[in-house]
Amino acid sequence: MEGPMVEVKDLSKQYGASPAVNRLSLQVPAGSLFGLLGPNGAGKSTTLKMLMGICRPTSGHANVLGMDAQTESLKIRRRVGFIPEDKSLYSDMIVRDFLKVYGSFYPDWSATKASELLDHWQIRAGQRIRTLSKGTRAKLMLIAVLSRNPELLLADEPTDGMDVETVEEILSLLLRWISNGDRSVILCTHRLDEVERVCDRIALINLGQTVLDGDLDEIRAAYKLIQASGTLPIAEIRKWPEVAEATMEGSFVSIRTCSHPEDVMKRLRAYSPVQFEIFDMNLREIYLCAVERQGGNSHDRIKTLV
Amino acid sequence: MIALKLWYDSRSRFFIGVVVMIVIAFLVLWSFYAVNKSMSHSDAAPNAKIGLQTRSELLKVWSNYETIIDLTWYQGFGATSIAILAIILAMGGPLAQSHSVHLTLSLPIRRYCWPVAQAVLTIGLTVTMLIISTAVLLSVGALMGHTYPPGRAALNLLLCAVPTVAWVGLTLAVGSYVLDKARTALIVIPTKFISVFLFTLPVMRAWDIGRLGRPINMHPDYSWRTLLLLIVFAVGGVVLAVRRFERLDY
Repeated sequence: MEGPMVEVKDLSKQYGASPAVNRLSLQVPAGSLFGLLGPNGAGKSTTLKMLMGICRPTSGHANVLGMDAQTESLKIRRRVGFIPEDKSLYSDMIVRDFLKVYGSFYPDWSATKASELLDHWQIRAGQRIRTLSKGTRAKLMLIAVLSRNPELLLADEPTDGMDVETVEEILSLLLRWISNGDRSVILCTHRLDEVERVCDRIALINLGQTVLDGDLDEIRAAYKLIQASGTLPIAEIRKWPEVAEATMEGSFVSIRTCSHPEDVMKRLRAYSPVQFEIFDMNLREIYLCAVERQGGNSHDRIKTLV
Repeated sequence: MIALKLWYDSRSRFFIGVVVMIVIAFLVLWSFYAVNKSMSHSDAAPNAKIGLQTRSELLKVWSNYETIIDLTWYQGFGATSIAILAIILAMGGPLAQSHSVHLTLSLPIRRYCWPVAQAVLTIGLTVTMLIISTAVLLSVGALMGHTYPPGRAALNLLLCAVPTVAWVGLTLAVGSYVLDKARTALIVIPTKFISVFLFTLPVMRAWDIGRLGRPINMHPDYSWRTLLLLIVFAVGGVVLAVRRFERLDY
């Protein structure tokens, strides 16, 4: 489709006095594996539920596949696959019945495809869902959703409870699934390593707000750690617009950039530093840096990001 | 699709309900034969008092198969049990399934369809339970040489089934607020039993929704009130459940 598959503008959701999502804005283009990242309670699940029309936003606007998430949620649900955070599914049913019930809601659902995936993951059709492990239930939900070929997949912690090998398999499956370019996935997770490997775009959210949003490679290129020593004007460096954070220990300066690290380097060279090195930052460091820059204190909450 | 989901949710309760009703049907037949036998072989004089009635009066009532079926099945255990089973059937559904509610609400179905379909399916399954168990009761009775007029059987069955609609509505309404099966049962089932005593109060007697199931006691003056209360409970309950389900933010 032309234009973004998902467009969210100033979306807010308030539960009582506390905001779950606070003026969130993001865009998901077609053919993208989009990582929605944040610690527990950041507002990721609430955002997905608002996109599916499961809960109503307090204010703001969300468009999914060109349709309004509030007024056209039925049409959206026909075309979008959703993997909920709670993978209990219909625990009293057996696998076969669950797939039969789920498939009956979608005319394009393929029982053959579901059967192939069940065989592939060695899930017995006669097994009761409540006896399955958390990881197997997540796989079963993925089987149900992918057997109907949705245009967009909203996956809330889809790899939760899975072993490393299965996680790799699921992520590869999702990458293959979007490879034709007209489907997208929003992968909602607190597992930064997964996102770093497979996502092309990300939105980092904290306390319901977007901390950082964009192409992952561009973000990685913008966020660098520069370490230098010498007589450097730390107070002035902190004022540079490209600098997110700068600390000094003796004559040793650590600078975290949030844009154009090459410009920072150029300006630093003018002060003839003794030692001078530039490092990549991992997503966790980028997240922390972006939250600090926004003025938020995330140290306790970030513990839930792995 | 929605019916399939609700059927899978309800079928175990339905099959258990059918078995329970058949057991009650056999108990009704057994009591008919046991009481008749014990009174026929009793040494007491015909005018001897047994409780408030004489032996001959009791024998007259208990030897009439149709009267006993009316009193013990259509107006007694059968009617009470079917109302309780209707409440138990109505307690399930997506409203009570907190763990899977996000999955259910992500399905391409309008929200109001869930409580409405739940009400329709519950009523349908309740009537089916009643038909199966009544058919078993009357067939076994016929095999033992006692017949019950089919027209009267069908009419009484209908009159026995109609009041359950009110309990289905009430259960859905309560269920949509408390969102939990056990708590719904704790509220609605005692209410059902309390209502039996409540409707015996002179001021409440005219509103007795169970009156429809007791055609021999039904006074024509009371029928519109009975029907009004029935509609208020049934339709009002479903409307409340729909409104609540539509407004809930999950």
